Amino acid sequence: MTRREILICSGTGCLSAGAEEIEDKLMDELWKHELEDKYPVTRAIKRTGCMGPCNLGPMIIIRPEDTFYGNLEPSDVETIVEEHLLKDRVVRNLLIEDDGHKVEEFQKLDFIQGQKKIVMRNSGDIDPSSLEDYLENDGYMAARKAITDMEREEIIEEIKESGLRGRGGAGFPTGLKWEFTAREDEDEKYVVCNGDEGDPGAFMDRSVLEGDPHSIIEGMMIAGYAVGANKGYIYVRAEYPLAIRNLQKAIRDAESEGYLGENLFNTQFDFNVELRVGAGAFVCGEETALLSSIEGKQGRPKYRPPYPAQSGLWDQPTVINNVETFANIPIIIEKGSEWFDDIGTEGSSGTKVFAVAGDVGNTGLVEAEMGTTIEEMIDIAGGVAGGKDFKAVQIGGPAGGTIPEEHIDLPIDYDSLEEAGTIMGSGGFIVLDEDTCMVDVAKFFLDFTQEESCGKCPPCRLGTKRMLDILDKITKGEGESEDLETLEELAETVQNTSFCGLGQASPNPVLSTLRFFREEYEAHVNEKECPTGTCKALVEAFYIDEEACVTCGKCTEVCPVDAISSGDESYSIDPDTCISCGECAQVCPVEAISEGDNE
Amino acid sequence: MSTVKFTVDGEKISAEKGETVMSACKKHGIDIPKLCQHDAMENVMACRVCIVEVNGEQIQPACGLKVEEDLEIKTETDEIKKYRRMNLELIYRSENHYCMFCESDGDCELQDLMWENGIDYFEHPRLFPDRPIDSSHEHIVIDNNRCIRCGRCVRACEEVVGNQTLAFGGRGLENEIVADADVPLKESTCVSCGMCLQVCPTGAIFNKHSMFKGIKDECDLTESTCLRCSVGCETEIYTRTGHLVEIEGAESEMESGGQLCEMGRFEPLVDRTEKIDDVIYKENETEKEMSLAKGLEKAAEVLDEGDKISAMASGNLTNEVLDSFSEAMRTHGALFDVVGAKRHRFEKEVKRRINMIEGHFIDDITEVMKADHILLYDTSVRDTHPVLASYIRRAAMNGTRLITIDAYEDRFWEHSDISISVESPKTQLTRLINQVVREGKGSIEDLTRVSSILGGLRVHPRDVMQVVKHLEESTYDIIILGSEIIDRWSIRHIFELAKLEGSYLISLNQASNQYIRSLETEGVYEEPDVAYVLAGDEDDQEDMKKLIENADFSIVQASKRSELTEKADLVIPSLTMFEREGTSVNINGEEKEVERVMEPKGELKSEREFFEELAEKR
Amino acid sequence: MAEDKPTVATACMCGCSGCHMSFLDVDEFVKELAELLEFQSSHVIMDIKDIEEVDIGILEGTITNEENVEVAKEMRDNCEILVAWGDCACFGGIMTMRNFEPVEDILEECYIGKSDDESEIPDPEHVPALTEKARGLDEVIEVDAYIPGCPPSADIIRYGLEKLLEGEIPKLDKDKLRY
Ligand SMILES: Cc1cc2nc3c(=O)[nH]c(=O)nc-3n(C[C@H](O)[C@H](O)[C@H](O)COP(=O)(O)O)c2cc1C
Ligand code: SF4
Ligand code: SF4
Ligand code: SF4
Ligand code: SF4
Ligand code: FES
Repeated sequence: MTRREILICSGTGCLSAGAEEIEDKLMDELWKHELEDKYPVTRAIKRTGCMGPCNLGPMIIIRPEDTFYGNLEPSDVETIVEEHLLKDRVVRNLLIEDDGHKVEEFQKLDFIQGQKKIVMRNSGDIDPSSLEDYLENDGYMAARKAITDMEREEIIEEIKESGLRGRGGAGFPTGLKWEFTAREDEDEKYVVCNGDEGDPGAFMDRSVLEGDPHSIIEGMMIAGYAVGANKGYIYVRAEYPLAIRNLQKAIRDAESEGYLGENLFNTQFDFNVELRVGAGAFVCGEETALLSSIEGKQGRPKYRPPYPAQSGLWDQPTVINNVETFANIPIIIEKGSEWFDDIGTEGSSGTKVFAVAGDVGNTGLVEAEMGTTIEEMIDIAGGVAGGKDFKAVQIGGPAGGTIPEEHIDLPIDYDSLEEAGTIMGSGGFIVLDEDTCMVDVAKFFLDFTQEESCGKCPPCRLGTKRMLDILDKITKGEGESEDLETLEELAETVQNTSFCGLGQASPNPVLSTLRFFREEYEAHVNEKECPTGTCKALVEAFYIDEEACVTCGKCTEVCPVDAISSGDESYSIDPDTCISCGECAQVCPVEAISEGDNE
Repeated sequence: MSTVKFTVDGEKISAEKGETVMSACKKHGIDIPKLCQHDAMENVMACRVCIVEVNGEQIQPACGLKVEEDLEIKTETDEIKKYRRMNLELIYRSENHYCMFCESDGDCELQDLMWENGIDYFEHPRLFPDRPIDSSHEHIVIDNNRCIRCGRCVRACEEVVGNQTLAFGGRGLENEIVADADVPLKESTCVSCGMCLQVCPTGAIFNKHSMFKGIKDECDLTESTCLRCSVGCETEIYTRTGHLVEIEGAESEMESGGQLCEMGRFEPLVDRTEKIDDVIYKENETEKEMSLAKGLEKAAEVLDEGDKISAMASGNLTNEVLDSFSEAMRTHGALFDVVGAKRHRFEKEVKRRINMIEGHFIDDITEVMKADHILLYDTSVRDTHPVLASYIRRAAMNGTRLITIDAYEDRFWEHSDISISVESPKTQLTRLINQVVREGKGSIEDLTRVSSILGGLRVHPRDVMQVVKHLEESTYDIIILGSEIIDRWSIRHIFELAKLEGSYLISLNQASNQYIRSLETEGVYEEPDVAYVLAGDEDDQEDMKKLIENADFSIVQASKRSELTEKADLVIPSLTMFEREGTSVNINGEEKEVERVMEPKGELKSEREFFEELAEKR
Repeated sequence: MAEDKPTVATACMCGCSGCHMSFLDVDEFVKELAELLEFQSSHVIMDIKDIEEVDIGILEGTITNEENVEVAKEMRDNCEILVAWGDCACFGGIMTMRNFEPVEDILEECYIGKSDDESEIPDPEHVPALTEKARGLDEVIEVDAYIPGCPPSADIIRYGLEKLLEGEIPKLDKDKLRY
């Protein structure tokens, strides 16, 4: 019998899908079959961070075969132990299907094959609570190299040449940012990791923090050494308890093993990291607001310049980077800037992690090389769900925009996205199928930013509210002809005059849907029609032609809301109850049912 | 300071490096519309009304943008005007701005901008939010329905008053002004200075006693000096048809930020005590009214008859009144004193005995904000000299180490780094501190000796050591001696300490007018035949009360009825503080103009002439 | 009189007639006006209620009931240039304060809560029903010129009329604009 290792995904997605139950069951089974010697819990069973394909959870990987079992029920565990572990036979009926064929190995999943794992190199592979595991995977080697072998300038040069750009939204060249801080002649400097991750549906930073916390500490340490800072803060939102727990343990372990503290790697360099838990307001992700929040003040944005690089935390020069940005650092130092620069496109090197959601086969985290096209991304994620047609993709979260079908071959990199009117943002990727109402999508995102406005400046506090009211009116069928123009004027004002990035970017979803789907807005306003039937107030009820009805009653059976009542001559639909799903019209044998007013 | 040149709407302008575009423009007479910016506070760039076009591409707030060589600024492009109009309209329409019955109608910076920008119709509907109104406070109303979230009040309370009472509560549309942890203002840490209502550009914070009494443009404005304490804040007093409407601090006074305190801003407005217009002579339990001339004769007669005569004046009068009064009293052979002068005399004596030079005394109290250590002995400063107190709080907030010593409640406990409580400001503590400074730590290491020196004091030797340590560490420390200290030993110890440590001193007394320092005063007879008290607007002065109680015959000259006038045998009207004009000396030793705000209403037109006549009637 | 004098009609919606009163404060300018304009109807100076085709239609007051809606629309249909006089007509004015509460609650409070026992909510058969919200004119009809103020001063009213007579649409700002 082979010596095996069993990896259980313990990312937040899988935990809520029941990963712990699977783990309990596994332990029971191992005990029952007296396998505890062969599978010592501490060595052979590993809880990992997020493996990526979240909608397949709970999931396990059995090594060395790399067999992947997903969507597990506790009852499946018994079979896996008896068949796979004891008899070395893959349990075929528990394998996941890709395009109709069963996939045995995790690496062979379509979802995994299309990806390139740099940031997520360890996540899903190592036990995030184990420093040992991290060290085994070359952990802290990069930091050792940087601190003992490299000059500060050399590191900054290396990061600059790698072409790494900030993954927190704005895409500012990381090396340049470090250089600004390094140049400041101050004793106190800080390194801050922005783990606020407030975009709705985003969880890439969370996965890294949960699945590979030491890589962040290592990235920050290298930054600290390069710019001359001895203190780092990791700011994580309170809604991420697992990330907080894993980070706390990681910091403690690193401290006790000498990877944090004084005289690191026997040099003069000291570095410490402190965890700060944020209250979770979206605007606290904005760098100046975040720094205020760490200082214990109200999390409201501040005017720049001065930029944090010159005057940040407690008015000292501060490097603030996103989680994903820091996760890239150790591997760049380890493998060199050239290696990194070769990955991706001209202006955007490396990879980007996306939280793929919406109408796709597989939702979850996808780390793809920069330049991967939208179409390829959708393929990786298993195509548009339910065989529907693709309509658009919303990239970049509430600050981003929508890209329609005609640009499906657009490569995903900073510059192409910007040209198409959106941004990389933190990596939201929501696939929308043909049934999606774009006005409704715009409303959803604006609703979010409006709620999250800190209230400091009028365009954001009030302009977004006014825009939202207009969108609301439009989706209710009360739109007026001048509304679209007013909406654009408001959007322009909010964009150009808001204080911080939150306000400035908040009209993007509206503007980009207006740009690509104006006719859909116009249909709402002029014809009082929602082409996709999403806006309830605009869809007309179905009715039954009394003459044609043969009173077969088939329609009553399919109506999900019991809107159809029988009669002697004909069945009839209560227009107030009808939700216009059209199910009845499809089953009517004589085509007596149609949409619209019975006039 | 290097200068840079840049263009505004085609005009070349030079400005100092580091200056904002807004302030540079202002100096050249170009007013960029603004709502949140205020000279007395840090800029937060919140209102987005001052937006300008930069180099033909960017849009930036002029109040935040720093001037740079060759910047190309446009303030009135079509785009800018459109955005500005939109933001103004959004601000106006999102809250309940019903100007026609707003307190600030006609005095409102938002309304002005609406008019200025020709917003004669609206594109966006009113939102009708229902927001709280806090009218719990005695003087101040906060109506969030008219608040534009400019944050001036919040910044004023923190940066100018050093008080941090007001804050923004809630996010986004729920963003509102709250006091402390959202308690009614009356129950909050508010010190009732009224700075917030002075800087509020709209009708969101207003003065209960001034409301609906008149638009400032339609009022008469008098610029004067507040005579409620020796800080002597510059005031702007608004009156209409001879009635007081509102008192504001002069915002040109940059260090104070235009502050006033409750005494200066509100008390004159709430004062409803009956004015004294006629001479009242009390004989055999009956009151007799007489003309001013008769009163003067009566007073002269009584003074002539008296043997031991004590005269005492309030310290809140003008130089001219003090001069003429003391002159008149001296010609009648009286001993003359002014409230607050006793403390000054003690001080003078101490200075002479320990050979103290004037250089130890600060001639600008705003220096407090530059010190690295402040030792405050007697925290009554918060109530007696509130604006000086605000400087102390501001200093403490900005990192100055504050050591406070008081016998009663420490009125700076929130800001104090070391707070020492003594049974009463007794001499032992100062002596002890003094001794350590003089003889070194060794002298206190013997704790038994310490406790014998300390006697019944609730003070730990450790605290004493701390105080000494900090004073020794500091490079610029200021010792402030409150006005309630009137024991010679304490004054001596503190002065000596200052001398030993090279500290600077601010020594306060009860008089608003520090002219008393140049006046000749002396102690008065405690049990005189005749006491002549010139009270002015004063009513609760213990020394004055004691004096007339012990006199056979007492004359009180005052502007309004009080306990003093009740007890007096002869009451003569004086002018009120708003009727008086002249000069006064503040704590910095500067002579300040006190302007006449209202014409004297009674028979008395000039106190000086009255006293000159009285002197002649010898 | 020459036939080509511009014709004017004025009417009051829900308002206090203060704007019209303020208009009367133009004093002797009235005489001049009479030379320059022909008043077709105006409730403060003549007893004609019907609105006929005019060049300039002037409305004061807020739209708060069905009748106001009707009159406003009628005026709009019958005039070339429509002028809103006063805060009420321009922005809704003080009357819009009722929009804080639903109209039913307002009626209930006024006619039942704050009245004697015999009082009842008026029957829309007899009295025009209140609209859901009190609104400024331009939320119902198109407005060409705004003369806000509560009330607009006689000077400003005069300025507005003079501009109209010069064939311009008055536009107020700076010192001329007050509300
Ligand atoms: C409203 C707003 C929210 C933001 N939220 C985040 C966030 O959650 N995480 C993040 O890393 N950056 C966020 N940012 C971007 C940060 O301000 C900052 O640019 C970033 O942390 C810099 O790191 P990077 O250079 O590594 O991208 C946000 C910006 C804005 C305007
Ligand atoms: S744009 Fe303005 S209101 Fe919005 S979050 Fe930023 S500062 Fe706050
Ligand atoms: S605060 Fe100003 S704009 Fe608002 S109602 Fe009062 S006067 Fe009008
Ligand atoms: S009155 Fe003074 S202390 Fe009170 S809230 Fe206003 S500014 Fe602050
Ligand atoms: S209360 Fe006045 S000063 Fe304070 S934020 Fe509101 S409008 Fe500004
Ligand atoms: S005055 Fe500049 S943003 Fe308010």
